[in-house]
Amino acid sequence: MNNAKKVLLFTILASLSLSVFSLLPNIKTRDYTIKKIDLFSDIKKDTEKSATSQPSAIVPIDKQEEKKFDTYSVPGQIINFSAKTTQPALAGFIKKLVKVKKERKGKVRIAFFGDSMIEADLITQDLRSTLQQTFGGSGVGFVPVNDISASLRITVNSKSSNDWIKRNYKSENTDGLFISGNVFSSATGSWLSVKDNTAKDAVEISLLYGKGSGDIMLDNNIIQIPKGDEFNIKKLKIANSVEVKIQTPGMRVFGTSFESSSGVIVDNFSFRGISGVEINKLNDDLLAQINIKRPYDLIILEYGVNVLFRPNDTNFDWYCKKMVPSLTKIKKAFPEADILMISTGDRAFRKGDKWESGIGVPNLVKAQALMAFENHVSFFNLYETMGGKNSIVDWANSNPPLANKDYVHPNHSGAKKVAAFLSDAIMHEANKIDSNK
Amino acid sequence: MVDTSKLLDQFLYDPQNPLLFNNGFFVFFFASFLLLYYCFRENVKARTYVACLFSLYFFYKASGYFVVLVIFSAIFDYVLSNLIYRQRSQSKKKALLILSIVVNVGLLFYFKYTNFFIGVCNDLFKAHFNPLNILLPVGISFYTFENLSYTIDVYKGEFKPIRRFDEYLLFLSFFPKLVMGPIVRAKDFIPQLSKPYYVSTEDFSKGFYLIVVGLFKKLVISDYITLNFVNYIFDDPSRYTGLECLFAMYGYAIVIYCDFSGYSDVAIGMARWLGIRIPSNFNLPYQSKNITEFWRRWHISLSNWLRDYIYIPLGGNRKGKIRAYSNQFATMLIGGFWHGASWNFIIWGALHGGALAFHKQWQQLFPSKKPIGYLQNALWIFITLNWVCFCWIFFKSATIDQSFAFIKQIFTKFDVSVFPVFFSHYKNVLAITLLGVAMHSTPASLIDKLCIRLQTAKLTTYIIIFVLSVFIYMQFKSAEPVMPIYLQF
Repeated sequence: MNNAKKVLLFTILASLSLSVFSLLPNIKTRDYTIKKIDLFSDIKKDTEKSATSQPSAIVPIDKQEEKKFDTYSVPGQIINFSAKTTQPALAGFIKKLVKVKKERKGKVRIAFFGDSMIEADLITQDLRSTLQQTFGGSGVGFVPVNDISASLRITVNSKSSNDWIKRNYKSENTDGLFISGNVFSSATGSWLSVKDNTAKDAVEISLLYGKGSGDIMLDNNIIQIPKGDEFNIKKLKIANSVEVKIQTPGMRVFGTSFESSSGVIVDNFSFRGISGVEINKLNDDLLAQINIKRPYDLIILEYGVNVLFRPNDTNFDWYCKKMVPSLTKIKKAFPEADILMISTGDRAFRKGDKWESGIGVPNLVKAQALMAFENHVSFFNLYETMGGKNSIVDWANSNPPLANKDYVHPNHSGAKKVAAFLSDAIMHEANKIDSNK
Repeated sequence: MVDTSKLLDQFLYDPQNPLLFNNGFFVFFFASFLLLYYCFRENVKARTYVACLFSLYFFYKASGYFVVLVIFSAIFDYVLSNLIYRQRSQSKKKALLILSIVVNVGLLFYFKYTNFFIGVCNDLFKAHFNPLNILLPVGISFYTFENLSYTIDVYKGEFKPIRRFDEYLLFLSFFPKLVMGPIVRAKDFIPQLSKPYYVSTEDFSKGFYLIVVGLFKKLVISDYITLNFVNYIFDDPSRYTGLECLFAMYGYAIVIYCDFSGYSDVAIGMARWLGIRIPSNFNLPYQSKNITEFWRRWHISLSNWLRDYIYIPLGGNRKGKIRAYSNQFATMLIGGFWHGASWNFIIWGALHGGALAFHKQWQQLFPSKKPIGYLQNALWIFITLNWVCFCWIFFKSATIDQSFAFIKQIFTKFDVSVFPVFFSHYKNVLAITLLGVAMHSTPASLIDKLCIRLQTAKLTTYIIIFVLSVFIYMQFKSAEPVMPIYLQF
């Protein structure tokens, strides 16, 4: 039997069925959108097509609000969507900063969360140094027991024995992780040794640790560590360097901290390859303890390049869905702190023999701004501040170069520049207080 | 709702969105083509014109004005082959053949290899030639080989040149096989054009199976694993552990198989629905017991072409052992270079050529006497598979440095302890990879049984299966991305 007619019938009927299905809407269930067949996606009007690739607001924004939101694209400034521009953004933090400078007492603590962009204390080392010079304070802040980039870090010399049992965001068991995303369990005799290269004078050195009690050896003295909570601080000494040996196995240690008695302290919490959604894995009790014993005045979240892992992605709703819980968690745990969300920087991909910004970078920046807007936290548009489209290509190709040839990471000079953008923006806000007087 | 200017733009070539089998536009293209093809089924001439016009239009939608190139090639080789045929003097015949080879290979070289050689010159002689802005016309590698085989066959007297130009043009441009093969031979293809348009029940069900499964291999398996895993590792291997690199290597083996054989399957399936048989291009390649067998099962149309038009003319195995080995090696080197203009493809070809020569020597040293046992069989398959996968590292990596970085990670940074996290993060990718392995290993007898079952199905059943499949492709096309993770902590 000749089936030629059947081939024709099949083709026509199948095309018709596909066309009919293309006219149906997407079906949304609670956590998943079932994508419909769409033969006509290429000929629909742009407004409809872009709706799927533009970030979508959870609550629709009205006209007046939209005007406020649109300020997210202003480069070089900390955007506080809800306040007047004559008032400082990050008001609580800025006020305290000015007060600490004037009174020369009290501490202003900043937690700088980020990915590989701030690895090895990049960006944070320059921001810390500028802020400490201007507002007082010394000490490098938090130093983890061990870190993948420890050997590259200039601001500290840190070493530790190989017998620490490490867990982190990527482990199956994430119980009891510190906000750095790491926790280190000691073996008998595990040691760590850290020298702060930033502080000229001696600073207060403390051990930050979690559950468990035991003995530690410090300068040939055995010190008993009492059984603590999820997060504890043990002051060790006033100096520039420290060497601690843990005598008891199974003690959960996070790291050390180096802080002057007053002034600005900047903690670097870098974790390579993450997007910030991992923060949601942190234990609420532990965060509450940190907020009591070592509270922060400003929390900076710098993420995004790891969300841009494919050159043609334009829709980042999936990321917002996962990131908002992390943001909510931080807000809830540190109700007194101001929060600043820094957008992704530029990231380029190879296109033939050229490098070009990923087409979705502006979409991600907008999605991040929308998250900041809806959750009432401040925003800094790093992408526009760097120079917008293809700026990372210019940075990498400039002489001397400001970024690595992976077209993702600013190098030491580039990081210095980013830190200067941030400290300038902070200074700009601080000056508003002076001029408001 | 519909943007009219965009609707009109659809009919023009868009470099950002070249026509492939998986575009929405293709559905309407194919339906309108079939309607006309069917209407003119009794009139062979008109039918061929329709197929020619649609094929050229497909070429235009896939590669823009390069369509002129395929028409030029067709005219040139059509005229030349007729001249060769009519020419009495052997030396003139030969001169014409050489002209044909020079022009065909010259065009291929110009478009595909100019910039590569500019780069080589710059490196060797510290010259500073700027690379030219040359785009590669779609399918040029495939139709150049088809042109060559045709003129060579005519020269050798194996084939009488075709009278009708439209048939020759269709042979070159036939849209199902235009972009990614298989490479067909004129003597197999052209005689089918004058036969009545007949699709047997078996053709219908097998064609349907090949189209649906081919698209599944390409759009679900290959694209998903590439985008959500393989590309991450190959882009920057030194950031990943040896374990991840090893998995990426095996993953890529499935990706390239599903991608390439999937596209071939769709081409063969569509051709079958048009009453044209194109021989199959892949036959369970990863189950080969040695590298020679692999090349009989992988990209069969290319290896046959290389054998008939390069290896044998070079002397094959007729001129002694050493010549046979070097011929084998040279053939694969050319075969490697054919895949792309870079040192990586040359190395890839050399590795395969070396392995083929090595296997030949091995066979002579240890001729197999009796059939080998199950375990030994598995061992040879394992060794062959791993060699082939190892070679893919060079095939997939963008640069030689990257290939070596990749290999270095496997041999020096292998860390089994990351497996649990790797597994839990990439479980979807791994599941799809396993599905790819299963599809690769499905024996032909099982497929045949399935197709016989399908033969009794009603047209509505076919349509439901097809629509459901397209629905599944859509879910994968826009599936939530799996992020890369860095495990070397």
